[in-house]
Amino acid sequence: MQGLLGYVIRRLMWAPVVLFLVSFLAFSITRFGPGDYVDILAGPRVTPAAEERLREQNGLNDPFYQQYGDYMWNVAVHHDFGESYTKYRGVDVWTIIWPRILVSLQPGIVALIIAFTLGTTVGLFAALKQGTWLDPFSIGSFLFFQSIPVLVTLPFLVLIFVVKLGWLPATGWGGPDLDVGPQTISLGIFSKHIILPALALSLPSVAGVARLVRATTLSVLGEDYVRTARAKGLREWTVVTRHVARNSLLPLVTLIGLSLITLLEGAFFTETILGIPGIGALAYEAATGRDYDIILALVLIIAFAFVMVNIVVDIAYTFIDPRIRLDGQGQ
Amino acid sequence: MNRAVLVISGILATLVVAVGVLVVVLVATGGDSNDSSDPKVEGELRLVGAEPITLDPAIAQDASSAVYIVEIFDGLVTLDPDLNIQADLATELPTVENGGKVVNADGTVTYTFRLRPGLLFHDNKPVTADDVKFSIERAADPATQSLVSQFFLGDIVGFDEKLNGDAEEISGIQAVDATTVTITIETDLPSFLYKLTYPTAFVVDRTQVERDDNWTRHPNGTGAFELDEWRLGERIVLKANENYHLGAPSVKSVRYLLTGNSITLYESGEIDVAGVALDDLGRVQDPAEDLNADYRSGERLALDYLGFNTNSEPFSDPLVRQAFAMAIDKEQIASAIFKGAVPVANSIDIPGMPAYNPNAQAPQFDAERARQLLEDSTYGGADGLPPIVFAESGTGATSGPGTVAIIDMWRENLGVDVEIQQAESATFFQDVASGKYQAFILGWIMDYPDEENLFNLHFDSESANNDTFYNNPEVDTLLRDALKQTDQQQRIQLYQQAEQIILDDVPWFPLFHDRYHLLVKPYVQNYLVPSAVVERLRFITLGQPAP
Amino acid sequence: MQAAFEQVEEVAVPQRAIAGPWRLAMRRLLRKKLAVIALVAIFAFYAVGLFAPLIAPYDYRTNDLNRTLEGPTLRHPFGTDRLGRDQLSRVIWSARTTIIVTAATIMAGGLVLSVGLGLLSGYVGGKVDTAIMRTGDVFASLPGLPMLILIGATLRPKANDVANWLEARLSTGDPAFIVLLAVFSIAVAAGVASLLSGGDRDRGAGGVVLFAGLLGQFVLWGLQAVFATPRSADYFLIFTALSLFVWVGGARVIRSQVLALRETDYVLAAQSMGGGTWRVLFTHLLPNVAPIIIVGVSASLGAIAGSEIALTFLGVGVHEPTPSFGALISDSVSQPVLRAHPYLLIFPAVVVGILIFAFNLLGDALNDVLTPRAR
Repeated sequence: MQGLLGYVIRRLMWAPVVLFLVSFLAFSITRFGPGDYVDILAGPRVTPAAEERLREQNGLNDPFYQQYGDYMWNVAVHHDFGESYTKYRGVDVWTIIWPRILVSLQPGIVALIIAFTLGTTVGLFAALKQGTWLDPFSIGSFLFFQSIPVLVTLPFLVLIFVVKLGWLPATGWGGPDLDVGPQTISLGIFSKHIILPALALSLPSVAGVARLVRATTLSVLGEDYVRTARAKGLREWTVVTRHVARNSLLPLVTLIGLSLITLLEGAFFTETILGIPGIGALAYEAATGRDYDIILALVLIIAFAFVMVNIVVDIAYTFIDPRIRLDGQGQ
Repeated sequence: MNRAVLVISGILATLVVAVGVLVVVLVATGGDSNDSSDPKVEGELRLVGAEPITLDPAIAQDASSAVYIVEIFDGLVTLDPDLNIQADLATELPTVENGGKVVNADGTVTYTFRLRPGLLFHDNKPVTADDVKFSIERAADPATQSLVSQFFLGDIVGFDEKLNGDAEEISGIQAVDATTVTITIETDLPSFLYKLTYPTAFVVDRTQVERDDNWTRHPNGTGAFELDEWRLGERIVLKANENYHLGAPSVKSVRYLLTGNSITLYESGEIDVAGVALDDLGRVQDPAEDLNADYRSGERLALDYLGFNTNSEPFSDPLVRQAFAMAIDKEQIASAIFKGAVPVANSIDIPGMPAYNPNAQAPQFDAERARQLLEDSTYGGADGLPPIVFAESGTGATSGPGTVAIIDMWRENLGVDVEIQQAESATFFQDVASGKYQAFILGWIMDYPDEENLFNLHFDSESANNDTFYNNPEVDTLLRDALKQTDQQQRIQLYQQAEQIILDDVPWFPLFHDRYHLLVKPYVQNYLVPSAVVERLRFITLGQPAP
Repeated sequence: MQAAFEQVEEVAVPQRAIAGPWRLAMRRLLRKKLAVIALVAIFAFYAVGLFAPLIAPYDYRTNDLNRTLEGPTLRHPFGTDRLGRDQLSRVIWSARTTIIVTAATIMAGGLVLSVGLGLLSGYVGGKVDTAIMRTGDVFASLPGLPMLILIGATLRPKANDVANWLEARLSTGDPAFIVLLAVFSIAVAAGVASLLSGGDRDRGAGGVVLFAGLLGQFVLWGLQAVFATPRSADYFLIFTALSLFVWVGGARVIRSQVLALRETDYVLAAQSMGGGTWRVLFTHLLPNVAPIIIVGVSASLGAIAGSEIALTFLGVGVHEPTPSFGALISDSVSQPVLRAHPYLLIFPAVVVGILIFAFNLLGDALNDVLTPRAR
């Protein structure tokens, strides 16, 4: 296990480096964009003197590296992501972001569950029906949804279920209350508001899960222990649940990272089109409104989540399947 | 086995399954489309609203914030729904007759405001003269970073010293005793009391502001309504203030939904008042439709205009400005694109304003003459013009249809290709103000119904808000005379004279005045739609809703 | 037992001549009906987009204020929009936008960056290798869409300046452009000459020079075409930003191929017989990585097209008056429009759906026929 431990340590050491580069890149982009805080703050009635005063107060006349250093120091030490400058003026960024993360997570989690359960079922089914018409049929039907961007499917879902049939609510979000710090959010997960976003987000991921499950199941079906189990005269159902399913589902862990990316990118469209107050809508709002500290914080948090999820998945996978070689050392 | 056929039938099958799943979910969750919305509360008015940028009156400068602020907070004076100045926290309006307004020997003017007896904040703490002084000084404090305080409060003696950090207090504001405040301004300006009606001068609770960093999330004001709930991106609920000094409001609470399509919500009975989008207008205006009975429309004190930067090529030449104005067929844009939802503007001043002149003449559409003017200009015609970039505010994927139509008319009628540039609104305002654009399209909503807020603000060559850098000494003289003129009739005449000169010079080319289009449920009575953002919820009463 | 083998076999090194597998792959591809349909759909899309000026019945900008928001008719099969512009023509011109962005991104990110950096990384090794691969890791772990939105929203004015500068440099009137063109032309000529005459060793070097010259010419003219288009800054920004995120996968594969090839017997043999490493790598590498590159490119085409549409939808892609599917969809997505004029959404959305589906089907099929270990 020596190699494994070293691998884990190396992966963990790599994370701060990536995060440093990501933060530096994102920070530079926001600072080199047109107009700084003050340009953006300045309405049509500001005087040049007031502008200069604001610039000095906000440390915008400091050298670039110092601004970056100050920012990262505040984030790392004080957990302070700055404050909003346009849309939610004066409000602490973390106060804005935290409830929205909780909102975005709800359709995300439901979509993840739908994608994985539906995908696994379809994949297992296809593998067991290999050679019949049901195999390509079941997978192929979801391939279509994998290809179509959320941006295209969602308006159609709105057109059908909200505008034409009127089955789903016209507002974006609502549900029972949940208090988080100074804010209250709605648990849309317990209302009909969850249906459209969860559906639109999960559909593209089903085919990926199904195909992986199908491939691994086929290879597991060929393994000796499955044939032994069958030879022992175990019922087909028992074989499938005890032996096949367990071993063929492990590789799904790798897909979680990928699915998270798909979900996050989909959230931009579900949230802007449906008006859900989550981080996708916030990121769009902040980027177009040049609310720099919000974008920076979002990019940092998302990148952090990605890096961590990828590391956890990688490490988990090496534990699950010892055949996987670490960094190609196996040769 | 033909895989293509299988895949396609698979797609269809999936769609069927998806619909099936949805139906099951719907049945399981109750099926009725109203169940997810909260049940109708007795005495509650339900509206749609926009998320406010801030609820801090000192820094708010946009209509979406002001809508809530004017209900939650009060100033010494206020505008009623007809936009007349009324006393609010003050007992009466200070005038020369009642001794509230005194012109001093050095030309400064002192107003004395006496607070109403028994004034209370929402938390039942009494309002004192100190609170008034503190609130105005707070708006002027450089740490507050208010960008509008200078415009609205800058006339007060000692304001600039405070804003520049040279003084702790504003010398022109004195709390004489617990219920008396005096405000001294530099010179006698008829419009100063109007400026005090803007949120910048509203009264906030000193103890709350100083103690609680997050106070704008649960502000303690004096207004007819207090903030009950603000759920980010979802709703804002205002609760009636039973102790309100001008009488408790009739509605018990007001719920603003911040997302969702208003007409859909209106039809499903989830809101009581809805704005009508352009695409729904035809349906709503059709007398055969049920909704038509609830439809209401009226004018607002607002103007959409094209601005030509008179400092930049080629619009430094008045002939070019006239040519570009005359090449636009406003009538056609209004009817074909806006479906008659907005009235064409032929004047800068707005119907309903004191000096509105129905006979004012903006350049009229005339393609022939426009081309001729362009040829007569220093550029000698379309080919001699430098590249032109036309700016509008916006971040979406597409430009406003009106903008695109205007660009097309210039191409067709003048043979000039103009590029559109979009900028996000905050940046856009900044770039307009600093003269980075050659031409732009913009709107103006009156802050208060006084021509100063329109003409002096935008066309005086010294004004910071002169967005076209228009400089005409004759106009300057007229506008400055009008500002100081106390005789209303002569004042109107001066403004009308200036307006016609400006219209002929075309720094601004007025496009449309604004109209509102609303659906109001019959049981909502006295739903006033003032021309500017002023307090109005307390006038509304609710009848018996239809079952 | 086939499955067990698949996991072991990491890098496939074809042992046969080049022509055979290619023809085989082509034949296998054409046997897949779905792939052929996809291929036809994509081909049709590209033809329509390329010849948009000839095919589109109207100019995409011409409006007719007397015919706004008309539903589909014989005269306007897809209806007209808010300004009375022909929706069919706008869809056709949007196809052109998609084509320009996908082609430019594939060229810049998919080919130039990934092949160049992959070769460099694999061949030079050491610190350079580490630097390139670690940079790749960073880009791979960046949240793509938020970064693209950030870049699109903040750097547009800068991109405008760069695009204007490049447009001026890349015109046939600029001396630098002529000089570069001449250099690449001489390279092509020299390559051809050394291929025709000279010994074995010259021929290899000639091939490299010829390839470099042709690639240079290709890139130069491609860029020239991009920047000569009006509103090129939008395209420039999008394909540069997208390129930053698409090169990583390709570069990794090419690097591993180079590393593997360097150790193979016949490369070692060729080297011992006096063939230059560069030449050997080049002649053996191209046939080996070509299928992988093709698979990679075809798999990412759909994603790239989708990204452009997504960015435009979010207001940070191409802008008015350039038509794009993103703008068409964004125009029609609000509930009042969906209720009153659903056709504004349906036509462009269906075209986009079919296109991206076709891209993915083709990518799948190519993966099947070109990657040896796939079933």
